[in-house]
Amino acid sequence: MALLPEVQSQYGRLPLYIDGKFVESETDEWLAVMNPAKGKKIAEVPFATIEEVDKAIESAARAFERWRETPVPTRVQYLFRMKEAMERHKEELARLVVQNHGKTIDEARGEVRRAIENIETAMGVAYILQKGEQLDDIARGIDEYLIREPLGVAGIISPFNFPVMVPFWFMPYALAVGDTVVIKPSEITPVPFHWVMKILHEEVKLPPGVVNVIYGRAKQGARLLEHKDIFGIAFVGSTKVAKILYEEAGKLGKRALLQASAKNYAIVMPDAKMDLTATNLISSFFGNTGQRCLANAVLVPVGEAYEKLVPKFIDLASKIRMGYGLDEDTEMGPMTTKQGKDRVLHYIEKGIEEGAKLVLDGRNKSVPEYPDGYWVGPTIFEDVTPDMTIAQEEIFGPVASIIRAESLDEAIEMANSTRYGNASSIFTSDGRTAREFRRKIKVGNIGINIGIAAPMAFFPFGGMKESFFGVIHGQIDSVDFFTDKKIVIVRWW
Amino acid sequence: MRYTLSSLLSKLISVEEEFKNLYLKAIEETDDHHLKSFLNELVSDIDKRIEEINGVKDFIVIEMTLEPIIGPDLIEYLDKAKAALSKGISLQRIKDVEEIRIEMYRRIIDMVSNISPEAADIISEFIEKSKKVFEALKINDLIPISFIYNSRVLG
Repeated sequence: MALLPEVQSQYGRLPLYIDGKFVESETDEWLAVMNPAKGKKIAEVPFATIEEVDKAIESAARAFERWRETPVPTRVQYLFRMKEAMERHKEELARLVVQNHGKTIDEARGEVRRAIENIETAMGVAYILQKGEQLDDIARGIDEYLIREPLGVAGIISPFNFPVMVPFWFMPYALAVGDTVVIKPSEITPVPFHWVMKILHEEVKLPPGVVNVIYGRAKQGARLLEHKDIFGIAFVGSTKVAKILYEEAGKLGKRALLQASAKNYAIVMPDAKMDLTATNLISSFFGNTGQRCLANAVLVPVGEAYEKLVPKFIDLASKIRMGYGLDEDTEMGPMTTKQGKDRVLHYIEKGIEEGAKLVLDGRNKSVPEYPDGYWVGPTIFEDVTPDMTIAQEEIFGPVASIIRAESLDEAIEMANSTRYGNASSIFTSDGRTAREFRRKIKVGNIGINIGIAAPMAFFPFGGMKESFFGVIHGQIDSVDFFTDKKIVIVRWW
Repeated sequence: MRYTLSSLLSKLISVEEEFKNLYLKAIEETDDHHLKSFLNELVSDIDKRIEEINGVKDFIVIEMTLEPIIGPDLIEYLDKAKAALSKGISLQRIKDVEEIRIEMYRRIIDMVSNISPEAADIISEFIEKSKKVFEALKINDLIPISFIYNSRVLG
């Protein structure tokens, strides 16, 4: 199938977005932004100076005073314009995601759709969840009520794997309730969100300072958290960074909503519909090239499910078409970075070293038309044991480890043995088995005959153990993160 | 053959374009004015279907169900249709082509019903409409398509 056109081949030096204007950073530190299928530079991203980070936060703090006074219906109108603008540009945004991240066009279209869904949900939040509560006559002639208030400036730090969607897990909700934001998108995949800002700037025309964007790494992230005008950080990324931010947020007395790493198990019972299960598992293990915190990483067939499922699974995986995601026939794109590819190759070596049997080897896979892409093919290990590194650590790539279990309890025990608790799936035709799994599994997002248990925007995004730090989850629940409650007790005499 | 959801729908669009071209060629080749007018209606109907498929493509992508789709190359159905029309243009041949399209739609529904019920729904509607045309053609009457679609008796 013919390649869909790229939006542009080059995007130059990306500007910061501060106080309603695109500004070129004065930093000396710039990073090359790559197209991972081609291994070619498509842009450069600045690591903002601390002064620039401060300027962005100060602009957001100034904007907050007026934004919080903006009537709710007016704020919703801005969100409505944002939704409309994103709808108009959804295809170009999807193509930019492919070009910078490497995922397939269907995956990218799904990501943009999810971003839009969060704007839609935030519009509802503004009118429904933001409303307070009142109870008259808590005592004779005395009423009590609760009002929600915005808190000020929130920091949002988003990861490379969903460059458009994840900022929208938070930003529309913050704006809906009257907060302002400073966003630090991933420095690895900044182009799609830069484009989002271009669209918002030209077509939504939010008041200056309501949304600001800076780029950088740990230094800029730390500054976002520690600045006195920031009330809290919403973050999606690795457990390592989440732990640091959580600790710092605690010391500073700030709010933190931190969604982190994962090691997700898929359990397949002998009564599962094997053909449907096998194809669904393919998208779960290898979709987004395995670079998804909801991707399954360990497959646990129970009893005779092993013989029924595993040959089909290996056969389907071996036929996955790799390529540039702008070709609609492509089923799996490259790893997003060279470092990511090296990390996956390291884990494959580790699996072999620890005695797992490599039955599908993706190490030397390439795509002839794109010889410089960061390719790793679907990789499958059998004879994995729960204590092996590849069964415990997050690989974040297209690697499936298969462990046989003899019972549901044994499979659940294995899944619960990791330090993570992001997601897990079961495939079965029996409701009682599914119920038992749902009750015993220690994860925040559960799939029943669904390999990618991705909560829609109007549900919170779950997470337990070392996959989540904080109390309030993302998406719709973030309205609690972005507001505080005041309780008023009134008597008029 | 393996498809992604987008590639399958794009393929369906391109095959529908080819069916349209077959009918356009048939219009040029036949002297039967009634048949010409009927074929013109079929051509406009294909345009509407393409628009509907594009509409579905815009809204159906949900990451839970982006799994590989396995089924025949849709070109096979087009080849069958070309073979049918190569023997000359007649009402019977058009009936044969419409039957081939229905067969293709049925196969696509099998392929996508677990992955995109929305796409399956649209294609089911195509089948219902095509069946009505097919039934009308069976009684050898070139009734206008808009009338056929609204008929409660046909199909």
